[in-house]
Amino acid sequence: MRTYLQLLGALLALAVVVSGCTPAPAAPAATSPGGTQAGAGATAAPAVGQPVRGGVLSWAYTTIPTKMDPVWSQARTDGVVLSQIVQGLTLPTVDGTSVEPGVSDKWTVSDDGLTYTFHLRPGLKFHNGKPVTPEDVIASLQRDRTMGTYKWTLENVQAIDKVDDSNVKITLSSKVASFLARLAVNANAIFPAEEVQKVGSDEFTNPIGTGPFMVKEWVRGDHLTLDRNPNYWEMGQDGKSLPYLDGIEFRQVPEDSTKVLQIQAGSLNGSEGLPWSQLSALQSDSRGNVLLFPQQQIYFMVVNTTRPPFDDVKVRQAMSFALDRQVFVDRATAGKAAVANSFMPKSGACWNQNAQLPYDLEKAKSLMAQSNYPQGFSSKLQLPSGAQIGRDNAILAQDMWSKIGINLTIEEVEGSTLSNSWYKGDFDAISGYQWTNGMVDPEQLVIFFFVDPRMNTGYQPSQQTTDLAKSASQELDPAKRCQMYNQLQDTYNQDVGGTITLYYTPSVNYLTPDVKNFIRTPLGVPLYKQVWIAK
Amino acid sequence: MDRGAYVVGRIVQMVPVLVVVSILVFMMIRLIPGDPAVTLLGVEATTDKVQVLRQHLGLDQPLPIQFLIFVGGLAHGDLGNSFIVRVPVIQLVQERLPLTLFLVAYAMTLAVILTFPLALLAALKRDSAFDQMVRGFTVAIMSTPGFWIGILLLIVLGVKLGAFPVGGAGKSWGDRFYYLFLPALTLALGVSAVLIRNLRDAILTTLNAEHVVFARAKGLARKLVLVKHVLRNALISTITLFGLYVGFLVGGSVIIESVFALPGMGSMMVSAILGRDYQVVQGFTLIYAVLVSVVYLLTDITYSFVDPRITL
Repeated sequence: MRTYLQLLGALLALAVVVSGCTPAPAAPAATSPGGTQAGAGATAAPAVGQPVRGGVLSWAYTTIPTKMDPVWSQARTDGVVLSQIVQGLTLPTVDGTSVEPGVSDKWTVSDDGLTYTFHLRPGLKFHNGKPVTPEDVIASLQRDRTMGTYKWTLENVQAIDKVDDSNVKITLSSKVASFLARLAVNANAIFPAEEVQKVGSDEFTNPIGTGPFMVKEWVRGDHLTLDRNPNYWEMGQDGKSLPYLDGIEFRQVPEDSTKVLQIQAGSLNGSEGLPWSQLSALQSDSRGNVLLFPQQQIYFMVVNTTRPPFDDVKVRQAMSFALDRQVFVDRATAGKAAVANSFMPKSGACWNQNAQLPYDLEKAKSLMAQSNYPQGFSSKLQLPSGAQIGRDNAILAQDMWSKIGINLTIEEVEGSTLSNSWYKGDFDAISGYQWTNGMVDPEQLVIFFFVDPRMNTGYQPSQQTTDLAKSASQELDPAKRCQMYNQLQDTYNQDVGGTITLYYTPSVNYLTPDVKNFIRTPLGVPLYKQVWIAK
Repeated sequence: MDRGAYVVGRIVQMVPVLVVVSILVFMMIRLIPGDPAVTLLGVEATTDKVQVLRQHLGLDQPLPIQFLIFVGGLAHGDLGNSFIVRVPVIQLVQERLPLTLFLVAYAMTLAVILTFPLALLAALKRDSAFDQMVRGFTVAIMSTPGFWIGILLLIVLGVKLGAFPVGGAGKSWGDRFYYLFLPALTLALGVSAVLIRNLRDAILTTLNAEHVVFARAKGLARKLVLVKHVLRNALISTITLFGLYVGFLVGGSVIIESVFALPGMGSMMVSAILGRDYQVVQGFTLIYAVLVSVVYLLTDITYSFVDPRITL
């Protein structure tokens, strides 16, 4: 009897807490005017209705920015948020494939491609109300030339000179096809000269830029509040200056489930990057909208090409042919991603739509038979602990590769430890990582894959291929340049250069239905400046 | 021993403990594989970029020099600067410690409020339906992970009923009682489940002790016997457990801080370990060591008040 009563007590206690878990009745899926509920190819639909001014948007990130100085920032969220605050001479276009005017409203390039003259946008002011001058441009770019992790973007700059009160001339030592794209990265943003002098070799914690929002309060690890920039230069649909919002509050919410609950309770307007496994349930809940946008992001696996058996190109080719990438898309991303055919993201510039990474099990078996390991081999596949998508990919790959005689043991390793092993080349195979383009130009990615550090996989392309990658960096004819990049994509697919690409993932955004006109660019940057909250 | 002298002695004893902790934590965090610069830059980092950042962070210095810089800073009350957010660690402690301490104090208060009546009534009504319910409840809570209880409380009381905020710590200290109720309750439920069982058993044992039987036989009032002879004796082991839990929660509330999106010490400690933010890990560990030592000292002092037979 006593046991029975204890059990009853336990069940009652559980019942009390579980009773609130019943799923909400399914409601018709809401469609926000800012986008459509669709797969990887989803694009934003035109906004419906007139913009409404005012209100503060609350948005959650797993980690809010840890650095507010673009010269030193590395984390993706840092870049996403800094893009709302600072701007360069040029800016990435909304489609993430080119550049458009930013702090400079127009520019000219000399015939030899070595001299760029930028005209500063008339009447442009910083957040503090000070007009932007050539001295500000010179001080900001000189700072990035001498410090930080992006100084490579200006390594070919020979001189930065003031032409007159409205023009700045930048002279290069050699041609750089991606120069305008390089100027669009946050690290090359323009700050007031006196702020640059004041900060010296330290880091900005309250960056004063020309972006649509300005920093109000930054409590590290908790929240970052931005106010609208009253001096912002872009105009909204109503003929007044953007942004429509009075401000944004970025909150740090580490747990995905808490983000969802906060949005459903209405205490948060939106978030991003929710697990694929939750999407179906969220799409059928009227308290929030799921919006997917194309993104220059790719998931991949890596093998160490300096170690046997992965130093055998036939083994790597067999591994690539043995992967049925559509199965990865269906099982690991609930069908929301798109099969990869190249190491370059699908929505990026110079993506080779004809590149091939087919699934052919028979060919994979034949390649294994021709390799130095016709009987197959055993190896270790590591992934960062707790990475669900990395685990899903590893399990699927383990199964597919076992069909060609490759037996992999899956091992979860703490993230920083695994990153260090990868950096030092101390690994066999790794799953669970993705790449998201930070530049609108493919050059950065091509350098990382073919020149240095070759994704730290030990891949050794032929000299001819490396030369081609370097030549493409200097080719000023966009069509010719893309042809060169197309060729490089084919070469990488043939060599299977250590990075075995799987699929392209869209960005996942979850927001309350009153958030209108939300768009995230393919570089993963939300255009908060054009968002409004319906009353 | 005089209480004042005892406290001073214990505080002096803390110094070598903290020295050993600081040496251990300095070495241990560096023994874990992983490089802060690589973690910050990502695996696609070039050697040049990593070198630039290592220099910027002062990691290019030999280990003994880094240790001397750390110890030199400690002597001046400087815990160094965070590698990731580049602000003094002491500033991060000032920003985050009050919230963590408030959460722990709030949780322990709720735990006491839950523990006393439930344990006392369950013991006095031994084997009754109420006693069985209380025991069943404690078993259920003890066998349920804290983060799950937290999420369920968020769903039921936050989203469904809208009675409490879904995460966050509020803007003012006044807000905190309201905002931190659910996280504090989550922690309190876990702690009180253990305390209730412990106190109930201790009361039952004490109820049959000779001095209690004698007090009753003497004709003392039931209430007086309960408070002065039963509870006071039964409390010793519960106070020990209580002290242990306070020490544990100061550094162990990290999961609850993550679930409820609270900017406390625990959540930052985890991100510091994952990001190899050596300075934050060192600084926070030292603060934890001080706090836990103080809590244990207070626990020992409390014994002497509850039971005069215990001398310090």
